[in-house]
Amino acid sequence: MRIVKINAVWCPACIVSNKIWKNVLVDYPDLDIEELDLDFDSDEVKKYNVGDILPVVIFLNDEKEVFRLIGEKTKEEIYKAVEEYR
Amino acid sequence: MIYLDYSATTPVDSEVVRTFSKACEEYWANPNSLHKEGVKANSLINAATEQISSILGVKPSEIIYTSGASESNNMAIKGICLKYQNRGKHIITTDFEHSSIYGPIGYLQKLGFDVDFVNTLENGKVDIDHLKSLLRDDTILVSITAVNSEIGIIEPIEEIGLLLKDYPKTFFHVDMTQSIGKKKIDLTNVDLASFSAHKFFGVKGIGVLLKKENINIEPIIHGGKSTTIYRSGTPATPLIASISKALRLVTKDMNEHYEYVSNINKKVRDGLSSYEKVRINSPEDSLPYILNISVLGVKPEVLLHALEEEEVYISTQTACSSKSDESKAVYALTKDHDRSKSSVRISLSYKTTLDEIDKFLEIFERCYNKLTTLR
Repeated sequence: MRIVKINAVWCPACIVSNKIWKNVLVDYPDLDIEELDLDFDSDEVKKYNVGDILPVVIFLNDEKEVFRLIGEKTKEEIYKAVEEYR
Repeated sequence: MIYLDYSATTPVDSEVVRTFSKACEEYWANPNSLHKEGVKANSLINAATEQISSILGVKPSEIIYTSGASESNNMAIKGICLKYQNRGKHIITTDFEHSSIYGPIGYLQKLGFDVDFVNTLENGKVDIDHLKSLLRDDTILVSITAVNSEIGIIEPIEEIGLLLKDYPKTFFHVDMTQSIGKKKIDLTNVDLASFSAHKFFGVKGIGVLLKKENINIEPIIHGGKSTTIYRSGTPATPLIASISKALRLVTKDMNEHYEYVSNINKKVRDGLSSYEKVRINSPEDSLPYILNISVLGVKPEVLLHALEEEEVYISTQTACSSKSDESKAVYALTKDHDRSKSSVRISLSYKTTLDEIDKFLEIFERCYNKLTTLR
């Protein structure tokens, strides 16, 4: 399982989500998370067909997308997704 | 043309253009040069700085010239956090800030800073009790806008400043970009404040960061002394002279302007409130220069372009915000996705005429009928 997190520094929902993800990493230190910046990693981001809402968190299994979280999510929603797809 | 997008930018006042032009032609020497022409340019900068300091009630040495409010916000936030990071790495802000506040805060978060968002009350004002509960020993910065750019919510800056007086390790930054020249803000307990000239009929490319004399910041642009040690680069004499002129002109009759704009805001509010699908998002006590509304079920850009066809110019969200299809600020205030996905901003100025408002209301009716009947 690999997780791709797409953020932008100017996005307040990303700032809120990053704080939750920091704790997720403490609880699940083995998670393989790749951080991409919407503006500065635009070529890589293009691969994931990201819409208008940030952040976007994509869960990949053998490089195939199995789930994505779009927009600001609660701590419970994020933990539930990690628990289910990790 | 009916221009109702003054919070995005303003046309340059002709007197400001004359000041800028004269400074370009007659004060073009490098103000740091020791010869007569340099001294002459430097004197003009000093006079402009004195004038700004007198209008705002700050010391001349507390004025740092920048390229605009985005740079001032970056300089304040990164400058304080990088300088004082040994004291702590906790930052507090709100849901109602401009992207040039979130940008440096998001950047600092990547460097390990911890960020909290203070709750706001039903009217969008900062919940002071919640702010108190968030303040920690390691909080080094609270950054709060004086007036939200999308909705016009006026934050209780004086009250927050008084609270933060009891937290000497915490610096208070205020983004004054939408309040400058419209509403006086008491800066007594504010450590840093940002603004830009183009929001008050000045030239684009010049802004100011006000920084209390007793505090230090880490510069973003290093390279030696300019007008201050905090921002290197050859001083832009014509821009500095022009921002001073624009500030003098806009603050001269500020209270009368505020009253006039309050009246035209009421006229627009009353006119639009009668439509079944219109919701007024700006609370009654918002800055009258900004009126945020939603036309339920109509996408903001569809309404914007319909009005544009009739040469009426308004905006969706703020010109610098994300490409998200909904306004985070309107959602934070209304907790209603239908409203936050259909919000537009009408922004007024003391130069907006009553005739323009009458015409706008006529045109709005036509667009409203067309767009809501189409559905």
